[in-house]
Amino acid sequence: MDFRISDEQRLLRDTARKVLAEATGTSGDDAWMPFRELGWTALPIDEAHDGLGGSLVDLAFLLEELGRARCQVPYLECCVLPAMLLKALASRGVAHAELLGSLARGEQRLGVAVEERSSAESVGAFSTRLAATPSGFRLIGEKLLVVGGAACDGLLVVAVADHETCLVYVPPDAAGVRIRGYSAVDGRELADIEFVDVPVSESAVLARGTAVDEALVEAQAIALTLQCADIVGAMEASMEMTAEYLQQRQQFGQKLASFQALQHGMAVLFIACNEARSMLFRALSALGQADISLRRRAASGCKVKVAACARQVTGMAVQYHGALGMTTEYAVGHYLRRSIVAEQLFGNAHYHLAMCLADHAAVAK
Amino acid sequence: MELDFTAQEQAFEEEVQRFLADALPPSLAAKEAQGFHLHRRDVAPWHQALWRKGWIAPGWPQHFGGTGWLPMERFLFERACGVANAPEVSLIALSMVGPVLCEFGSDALRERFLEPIRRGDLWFCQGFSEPEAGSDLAAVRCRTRFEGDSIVLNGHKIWTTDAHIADYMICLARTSDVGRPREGLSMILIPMDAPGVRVRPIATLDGDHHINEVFLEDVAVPLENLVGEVNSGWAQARYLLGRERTHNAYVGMLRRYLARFPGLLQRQLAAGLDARVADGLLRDHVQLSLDVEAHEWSVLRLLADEESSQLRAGASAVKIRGSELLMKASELELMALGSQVIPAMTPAMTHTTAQPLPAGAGADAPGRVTQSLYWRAAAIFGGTNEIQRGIIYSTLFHR
Repeated sequence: MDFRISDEQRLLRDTARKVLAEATGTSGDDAWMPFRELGWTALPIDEAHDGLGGSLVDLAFLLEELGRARCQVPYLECCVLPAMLLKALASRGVAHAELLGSLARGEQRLGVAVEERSSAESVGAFSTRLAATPSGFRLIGEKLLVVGGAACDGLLVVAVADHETCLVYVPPDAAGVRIRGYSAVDGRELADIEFVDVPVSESAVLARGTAVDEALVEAQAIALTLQCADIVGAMEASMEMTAEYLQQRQQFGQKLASFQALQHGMAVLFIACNEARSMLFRALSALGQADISLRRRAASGCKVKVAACARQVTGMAVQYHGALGMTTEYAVGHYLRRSIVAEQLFGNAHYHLAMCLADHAAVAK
Repeated sequence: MELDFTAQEQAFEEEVQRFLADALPPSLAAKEAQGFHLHRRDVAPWHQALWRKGWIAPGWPQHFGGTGWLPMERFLFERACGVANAPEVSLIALSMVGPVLCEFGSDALRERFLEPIRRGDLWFCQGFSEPEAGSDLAAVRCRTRFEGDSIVLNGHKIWTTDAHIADYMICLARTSDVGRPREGLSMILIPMDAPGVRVRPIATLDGDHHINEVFLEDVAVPLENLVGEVNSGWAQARYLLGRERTHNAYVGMLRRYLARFPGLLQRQLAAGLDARVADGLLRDHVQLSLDVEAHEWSVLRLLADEESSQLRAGASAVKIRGSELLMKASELELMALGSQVIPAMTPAMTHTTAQPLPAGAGADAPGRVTQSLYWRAAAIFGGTNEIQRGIIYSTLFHR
């Protein structure tokens, strides 16, 4: 057990903090620029595919900084998640080196289309389907909540063909792809995407069967954990911002920070931030285990704990700023918005607690 | 970063578990599991077993009989002991008096006390708190005067755990009124059978007897019973608190609660507990296990010295959370047992199989209310949770 941050990690963290603070307000390709130039797109990918072979802990440090900076770049969803998905497929003998390479070099941003209207949470229960035609396939269905889906270079779509899950590569400009982009409550960009008889060639079906099911579980456990890193970064920033505000703001002839009720409230916020970080480390540790069900459970448990702590911390941060906290002009409320959206993406605390309960019941039997 | 136990640490944990399986008497473990406060004589066989193994004083320097374990190994040891229902052994003697004597005591004091403490022949109580000095320890008043080769003490100590069974008290007393209040305190060892020492039991909510008031009236002890330099008591207390950062996190005890809950729920279901109630309880249990996991990793981060600037705040955080989670865990158990926990039960009732327990209570029930009520104290002793929140604020945010 060693929790000390390495020199490389410190450099990564400090650079990210500085660069992302300076990049506030940029959008689109400009916003992606530092991710390419500083090698962050290469971080989740191994050296053999032009990547830097960063660890999950490295990625967690970077994601924390995205949360802290309230960065809107869908780095996790359009770079890390597809990279993890492709890597998980590669480890099952289904290699797509060219896609991994283009992700690493920042040439492609890939939207991952999983969620559907019927909230098909369980593996293999998707209604988007791939129908065989004489010359290949047609993709039919609808995907929701594709983060970064309106501004990506390719889509990885999870669909069903012959009762098998498959992963399909679809160019966003293919005939029959209808993308409806929209903004989330916290400003991040998402899209719902309809696939109306979209022609799909044999080679665009990247993988099929249990390899896809397993790769999805594996990649989602990682993405979920790294999403928690983003939330932890946001929580800590809002806590620090609040401590600072209590020092500045004077009422009744004294600093707000001199009131014991608020001091003890800050201690409670620290405990919540501290426990969220502990849970994050625990999940990062568990992701190294061989047993996939342990990894999935650790990621779910992490989301349950971190989401609850985030609700508490970002909510209290608004409360302690008084009316100022309610304004969009001031930053603290944006952390609350970010954590509300983050909680619902990849499944909220109730969903993941139910997953933990199901695992618990399975172990008991 | 290396977010996993090393192979060496894992092997160590297995060694501890094997030892526990061999050396911890099952009857003692069963008694401990019930949650009543154990007597010194109950714990003696376990103390002997640890002493023979050379594991009785993990926190001491090795040349005084310590184990030389790293903080992570101590953690694994304590966690395994907690899960296996091993009782705590003479905590004050081994975790407080021993380390203080090793660090500050004269050779003569070490000679007199260290070996008997390790053997389990000497039991200590801690005389810190007074009626007017609870969380505010620097307000200690217990008077001293030096008469020839003796120190004569007069004072009133309170909330003194085990005073009724201890051989000695480690007493924080005022030896000077000069300077700040904390600068005039000293640690003095007092034999409990010295003339002028009077112990009065204090009955507590949990229905057990473990704390007392102690009156000191012209109690004379030899000068050499003063530990270290005169007026260095505060520094010694600080030293102790700095060393025992994570003891009050109760990871082992929390694991014990978590481990036995599914079995308890199964039995209650078999005995007719409504399945919908069981579902709710199980949900709370899973939520609690997640909270305990986070808590446990907070402790690991402290042990690994993650970031020293946050150490003090982190220690206070795990102290607060340890007590809160114990209250939660024990209350969840009460909910699962339901009305079985209504009757007042004594340890004696649990060892007579002739009579059924009242209210249809199963063997799980006695001691549960007692222990649940006792955990209220965990949020109070060692600096109340309110004091800890103050420490967190002043360490991290005060300017």
